[in-house]
Amino acid sequence: MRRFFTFLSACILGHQVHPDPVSFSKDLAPILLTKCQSCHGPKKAKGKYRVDTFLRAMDKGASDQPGFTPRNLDESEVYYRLITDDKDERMPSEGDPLSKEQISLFKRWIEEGSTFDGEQGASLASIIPPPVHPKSPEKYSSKIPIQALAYGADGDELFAGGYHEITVWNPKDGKLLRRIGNIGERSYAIDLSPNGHLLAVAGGAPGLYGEVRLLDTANGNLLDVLARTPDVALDARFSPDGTKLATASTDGRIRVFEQREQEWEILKTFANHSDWVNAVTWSSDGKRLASASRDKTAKVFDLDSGKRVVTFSGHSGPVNGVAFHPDGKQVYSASDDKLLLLWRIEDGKKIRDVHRFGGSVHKILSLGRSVFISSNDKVAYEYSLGDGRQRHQFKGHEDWALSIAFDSLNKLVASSGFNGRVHIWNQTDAKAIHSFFALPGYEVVEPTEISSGKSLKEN
Amino acid sequence: MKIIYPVFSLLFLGLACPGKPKISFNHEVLPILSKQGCSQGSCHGAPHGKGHFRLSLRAFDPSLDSHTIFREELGRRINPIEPSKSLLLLKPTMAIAHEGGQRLKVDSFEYNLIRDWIREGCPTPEDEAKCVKLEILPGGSKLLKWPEFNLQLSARATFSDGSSRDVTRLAVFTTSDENVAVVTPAGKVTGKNRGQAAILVRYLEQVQSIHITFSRKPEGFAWKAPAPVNYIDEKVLAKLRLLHYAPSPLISDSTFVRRIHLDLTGLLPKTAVVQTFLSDDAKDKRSQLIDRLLDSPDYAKYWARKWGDLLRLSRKQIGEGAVYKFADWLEQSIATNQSYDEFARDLLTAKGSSLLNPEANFIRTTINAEDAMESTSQLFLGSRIQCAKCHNHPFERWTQDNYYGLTAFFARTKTKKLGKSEETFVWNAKEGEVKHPVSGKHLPPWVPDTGPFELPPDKDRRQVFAEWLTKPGNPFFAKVEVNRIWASLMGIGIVEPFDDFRDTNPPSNEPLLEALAKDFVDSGFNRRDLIRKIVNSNAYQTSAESNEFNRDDTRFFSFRQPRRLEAEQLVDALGQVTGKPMKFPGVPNTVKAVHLPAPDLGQKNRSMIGDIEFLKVFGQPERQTVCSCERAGDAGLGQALQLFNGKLFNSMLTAGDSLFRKSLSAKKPLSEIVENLHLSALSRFPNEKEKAIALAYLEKATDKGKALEDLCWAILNRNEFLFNH
Amino acid sequence: MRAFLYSKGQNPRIHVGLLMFLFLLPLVEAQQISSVSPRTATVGEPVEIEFVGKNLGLSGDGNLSILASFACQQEIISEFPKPPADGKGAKTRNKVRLKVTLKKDTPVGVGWLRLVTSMGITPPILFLVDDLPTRKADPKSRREEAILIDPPLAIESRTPNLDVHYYKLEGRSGQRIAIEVFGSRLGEDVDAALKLLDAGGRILAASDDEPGSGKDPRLSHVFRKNQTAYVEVREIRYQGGKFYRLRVGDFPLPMAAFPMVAQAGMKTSFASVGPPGETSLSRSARISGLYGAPSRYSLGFRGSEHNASGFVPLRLVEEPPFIEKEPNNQLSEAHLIESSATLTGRLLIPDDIDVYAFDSKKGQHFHFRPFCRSLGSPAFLLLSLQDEKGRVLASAGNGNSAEESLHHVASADGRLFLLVSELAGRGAPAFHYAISARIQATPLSFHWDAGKASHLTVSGQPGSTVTLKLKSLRKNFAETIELTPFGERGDYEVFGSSSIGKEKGNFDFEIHVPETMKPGEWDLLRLRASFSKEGDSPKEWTDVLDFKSAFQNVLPNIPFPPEELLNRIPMFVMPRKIEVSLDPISGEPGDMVEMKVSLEKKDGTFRFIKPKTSWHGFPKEWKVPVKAQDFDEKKGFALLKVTIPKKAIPGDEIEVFASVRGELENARYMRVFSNRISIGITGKEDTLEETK
Repeated sequence: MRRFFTFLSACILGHQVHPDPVSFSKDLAPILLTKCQSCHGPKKAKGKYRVDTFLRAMDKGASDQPGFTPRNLDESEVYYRLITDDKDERMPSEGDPLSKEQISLFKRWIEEGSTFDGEQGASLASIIPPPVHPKSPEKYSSKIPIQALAYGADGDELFAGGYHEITVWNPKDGKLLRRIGNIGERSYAIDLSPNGHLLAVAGGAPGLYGEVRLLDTANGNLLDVLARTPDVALDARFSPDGTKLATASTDGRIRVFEQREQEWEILKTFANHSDWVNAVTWSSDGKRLASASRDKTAKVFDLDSGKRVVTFSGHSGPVNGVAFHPDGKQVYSASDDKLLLLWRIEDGKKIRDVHRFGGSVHKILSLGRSVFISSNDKVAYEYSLGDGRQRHQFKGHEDWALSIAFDSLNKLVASSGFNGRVHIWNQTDAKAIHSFFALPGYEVVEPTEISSGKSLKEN
Repeated sequence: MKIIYPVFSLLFLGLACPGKPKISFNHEVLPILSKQGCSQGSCHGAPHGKGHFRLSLRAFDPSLDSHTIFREELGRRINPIEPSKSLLLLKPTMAIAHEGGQRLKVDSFEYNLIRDWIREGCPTPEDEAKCVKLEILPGGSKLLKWPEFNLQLSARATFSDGSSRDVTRLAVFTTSDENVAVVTPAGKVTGKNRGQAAILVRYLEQVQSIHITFSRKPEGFAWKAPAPVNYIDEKVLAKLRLLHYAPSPLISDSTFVRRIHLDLTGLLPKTAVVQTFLSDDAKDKRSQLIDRLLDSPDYAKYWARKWGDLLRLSRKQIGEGAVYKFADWLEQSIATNQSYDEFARDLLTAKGSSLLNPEANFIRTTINAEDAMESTSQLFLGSRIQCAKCHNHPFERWTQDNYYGLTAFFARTKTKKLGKSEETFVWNAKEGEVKHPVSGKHLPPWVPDTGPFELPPDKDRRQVFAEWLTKPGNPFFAKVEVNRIWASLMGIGIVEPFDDFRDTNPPSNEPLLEALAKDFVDSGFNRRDLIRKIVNSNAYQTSAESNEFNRDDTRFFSFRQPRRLEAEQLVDALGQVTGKPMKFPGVPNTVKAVHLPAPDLGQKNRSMIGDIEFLKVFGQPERQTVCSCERAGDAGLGQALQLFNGKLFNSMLTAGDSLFRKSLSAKKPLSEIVENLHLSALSRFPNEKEKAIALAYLEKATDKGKALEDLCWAILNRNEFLFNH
Repeated sequence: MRAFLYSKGQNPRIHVGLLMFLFLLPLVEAQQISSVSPRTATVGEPVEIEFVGKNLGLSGDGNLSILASFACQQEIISEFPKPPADGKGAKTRNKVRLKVTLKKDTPVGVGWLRLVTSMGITPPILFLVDDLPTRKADPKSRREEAILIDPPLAIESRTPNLDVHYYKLEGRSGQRIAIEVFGSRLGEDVDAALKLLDAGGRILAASDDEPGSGKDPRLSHVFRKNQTAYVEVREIRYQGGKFYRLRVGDFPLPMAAFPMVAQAGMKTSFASVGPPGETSLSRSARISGLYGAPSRYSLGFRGSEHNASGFVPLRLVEEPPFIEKEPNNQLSEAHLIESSATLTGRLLIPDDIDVYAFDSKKGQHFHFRPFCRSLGSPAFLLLSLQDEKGRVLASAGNGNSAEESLHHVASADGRLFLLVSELAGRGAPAFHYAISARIQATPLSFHWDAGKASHLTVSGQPGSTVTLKLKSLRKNFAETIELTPFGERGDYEVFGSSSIGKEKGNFDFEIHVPETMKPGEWDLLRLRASFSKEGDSPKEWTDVLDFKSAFQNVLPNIPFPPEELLNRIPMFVMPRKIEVSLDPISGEPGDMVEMKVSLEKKDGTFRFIKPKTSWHGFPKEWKVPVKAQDFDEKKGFALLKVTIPKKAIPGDEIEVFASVRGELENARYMRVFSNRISIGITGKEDTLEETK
């Protein structure tokens, strides 16, 4: 469903008086989401009052008055709580009161009959029109970790996550080609559709919002904003046939969208994980999905039936990466417990420890006959999917290797690190070609390593 | 008078020196996180943190905190490009909902400091200097006279690289007594009313305290006090004069004879003893009575039981046979006036079988080296060090290293149970070390001031600790015992509670404590002489009636603090007055409650359970810990009911062969019986009014026995009987 | 029964009465002693000892005497119930009183005595021979009412329940008074505590457990002025009914004798080790080991200035004592011990170590057993066996028993060093010890597995064989051994092969019972093993095998497995075969039939006392009297009348048999089974089938 919109104020707190009526989804939902939902949401409903949907916000909590009563300020409990100067009653309970403008928005909205302009029953996060993100800084003043990396279809473009942008680099000489704006604060994953026309970016701002943005690879135009959640989205993967997109978010849900005549519709939602879902991947036949989650488990789902096929709980730490074995009967999974394990789908039993790394292991990328792995021991690896033997080690990183990408045409491996540097190697002989900071305009100011040089103590 | 805030110069200018980060993670960011309460035990300092965010408690592990803040969850909490948008700042300023509430205000001193640190890329250099000294300025103990009850404190920290800086905004200020003085987070002290308070300042691992006395002269105050008998009186009167508390007058002979008997022997004086004492007109009859009591077996038995409370002397802990043997040993130690240092050395270094040498039972009641150290530190160092087991002590100088350094003394003490008997053998192994839970290193034995010892393997470590402890120069040993004896006699310690010596619980009269301790050491740790000096002093013989100018003094001994009879004293007193003493299981029926070796002897016969209940209700300790707090002193409904018509009290009153019934059947005149009742219960003759009321009631009554029961019940429910005043 | 009583003075080493008791024990109500008083006797003064108990033999059968570790005259004073005038219908005694008078020169100290009756012999009862007269003085529980006693004397009483006993003394200035309680040292379960109080109740001296007297308290005090003093005696937990003997006088309180062990019957000179300040006294003594309780002796010491003796625990050992000579603190200064000995020594100074050296051969067994706490020494010994290089091969003393023994098999030839130290590193004159060190060449040990046998003995008929179930535990020792059994009567022939090869783990070893032995006789068998080893110098080796006696596992809590029965197998000679026959019978349903069981003795030299018959195999519906019939001694058979039930089906047969059990003349319990017979049911064939 595509909706065009205009963004009213620069940031959430920004505001100015405007003549047209107050819109619940545009003006009030953002305030309710950031200021109220954490104590009055699905997980915790203080005073038995919730604001995570319009109807619930209107409804009565434990107190005898409903949240809002159209055209009746006195009987709108929320309004009373906003303006009272009794410290224990005033909301938000432990912080500064809302600004006068915000309170006047609520007041006018109630006087105008508390109308609702969003989709019935939808969560606050999804009815707030997707924000237009601020412009990225011209030159980066500091290094930032790069978690998202992907090669373009013909290998002449390398997409990397930036600050409110996706930066596109020439892998051969490390020059900045172009910058795609209007992207969330950080990006955790980039995936190109098999035909290379579409670009899916999963990201958001920690603790604030999460979203998956669909862009036209060529000109970077925003096509759609999907999977909008109160916290960041962590992964987005196109199905092998390119018609479906699976997203993994911090609300523990995996959502599968399908393209129907230019519109991406939600097809299925899997809510089996109890904590963040760090990664998601498709089986080669596109019928099954595998997921890795911070609740220390990896699961396999069947798309058509929407059922969970199996749960693997052999890891002793959060699981960060999954990849299907070519035979479709086994799955590789990698975790903070520094292990890459191979396990069977049919009974969820571990077959063997493939390898123990020197640090946590992040998302793993399965392409062709091999799986590419990056780990906090500052090394990237290539393992053959079939027999799980280690093919190559790509050395050179000076900080944690966070993500990895592979250009199958030119047989080049690229990996980005916590210190914002991208390194490129030849796949065949693992020889380092060159490395560069994927941070536009960033000049190295301090000679010394700015972050603490001590050994990185894994917790 | 306006209070000027000291100017924080260096901090704000932030001279940029290239290369060296301006904001220090260890010296500034972490102290702020602990001062604002982020890393306190109930929030992110909890063992598993809160909301997947864990900080070490009060930042005692900087490397873990720097990793968690900067790198965990792929650097989620830090936004190096727009620092003000970092999660680390959005949450505490409630920009995003934060369960911990608002901990920082935007653009406040603390907020900007963290924001600048993030802008610099969160530097956490490994080689930062350690804070080695913390001073409070103005230093020393202070005396504030009304109306100037305000004082602005500042804290200065010195580091191992020689540098020093003001840390007032970074240190945590707490007060030891809210209703005497309060302190703001910025270090401004405001006195509430007369008294003494300690202000504690904590910055990283350093703890300092400053004692402030607030004196205020009430209107119409006139100083009047009897001439001091010894140095004790001088010290007490000096403090009272300073704080403008006028001492109450001295007590009468009858109050003295009752008080001295209860304090030295735990028993009420017999009527004959009261009569001869009251009629004796010798000038030094009080000190003679004191000497007689100090020489009596009852004194030894009563004070041995006090130590029984502290040394966990119960059947449950050390078995029935050992209880009698250990109780006998304690009684002989007090009867022969064994010097206190020798007494402590025997307990601490006991070896061999717990039956042949009963003092080995002290080690036996401790389950492991930590428990042995904790008991020893509470008994002989007067400090409750348990908190330092998992992290640095919140109120005191004891750090975690100190805790395990002291434990090292007991690491090699081994016990083994011999066969089925209750006998335990205690000996010292040649090896055995204590591991620090966090660093994993072996810690050598360590004591305050002198520091760690390097001991050859076969040296008996407990011997070394005992010698350090009982050396005359030891800062704890004499003070703790002197304070314990003072608390037993005066009802309240110079340090209260008497086994809780810490900076935030200062002694109410430091010079008095020093003088007593010095005298005790000079006398060769002679306990009996110390008691003799205290009970001969005016301070001890002061009346319990307060006057207009000392009514609100609770800590400075201007008048006697009355306290209810201990559970055992009460049972014996009731038995003595009614002539029907209670019988206890496992001991001959001539044994008094105050002489009981242990509270749980021979409880096998169910019938006695009802009576033992009486002792439990009035606070008899179970002796499971070495803490003084086990003897509950507070009143309760159960106690009132027991004295109203409790099973035990009732059986004593209504017994056919009670004293007053026997004297009734012996045709003694009613007036004499009434007089005897008063002499026995209150250690004084009844006044005219009391005699008149009693006789009137008795004349009127048809059943004289029942009437006498009512009279006795009435006397035994009066506060004058129930209290040691 | 007279013949079976061991009469005094004959061969001391075989003790018939003792064994009779053993055989009786598991079978018939053995005699039991519940109280013996008094427990002490004063030299030269006769004393009437009263034994109260159950089953003390038949009253009046004259079979009543005392066996004591000290020579004494004895005379039966009275027996209860009184022996019958006409000698018939005697009942078993439950109380006896005997008058015992000791010779003048009887050594003072704790010895033992046993009561012997036809029903057996009691375990040793500890008995004090004291040189203090026992006087009567009833104790008072209130100090003021205490009765004045005039030492030196001894008072025997029992502790009051939940109370204390007071005795009054008049002390003269400068007078030394010594007071002790004899209780746990007489085997009584009492833990007494003593206090000497002045008139005001203040403690002059006190004692609870002391080194040298274990749980018994003892103290000494010198009065500084003439004053009245009170002795307070109490059980530490105020438990009542516990026996105590209070000795008050002027006697030494030695903590130990040195050496503190002696070989039975060997004259040994001892020196007393007093508490600091008391001069050491010396004496010599020869202690007979006759069937006493070797671990519970004590020896009296007395100086010229004393008016009584002070006692010190002593132990009888088999191996000769070896007294340590300081300095022996390093391996270089160790004493070399050639053969089994009892190492006695003292840990005089803290962290003192005594070292003994042994030359060991490969496979040699070393067995060290310390005695300290049982002899009143407060020491807890730590034994450590090291080789020349100081490597610790074995150690003992860390477990939770106070006297842990150490066992080691030498893995190579060479010198071994035994280091003796105190676990808590303490040292003082009272810290004395004795270690029984036994060196055995046996590279193997045998285990006599009588556990399965229901009796404690093996038995066989004269001329027949006796089977011993033996198990050999070898440790790298492959030679074949020759086993020769021997007993008090000399060697016995072996039936079958007497050489035991390596392959034989468990094997039956048959011994030929000589024809000359008569039923009722018995012997104590021991096994001597010998082998000759080839190699450079053939080594001839014989040793008496030491194996765990069956008693310990059959009767673990027997109060006293007499030491003389350890490593010996009692063999008992049984009468020849006894036949029990049953005559076949038949009868019609409803008939009363008579069954006769007859007993045929092959060699009539024994009597079957009170035999009892019982029947087996009758189906339920046959009403058979359950009570076993009495076997008529003279007629030699027993009769059983039984009726065949009406419903029995003619033509049927049931199979029954009988068994006879009872005591042989020499109180040897036996049970013999008859052959099986079938009772035929006769009568017309019932036409039962048609009606079916």
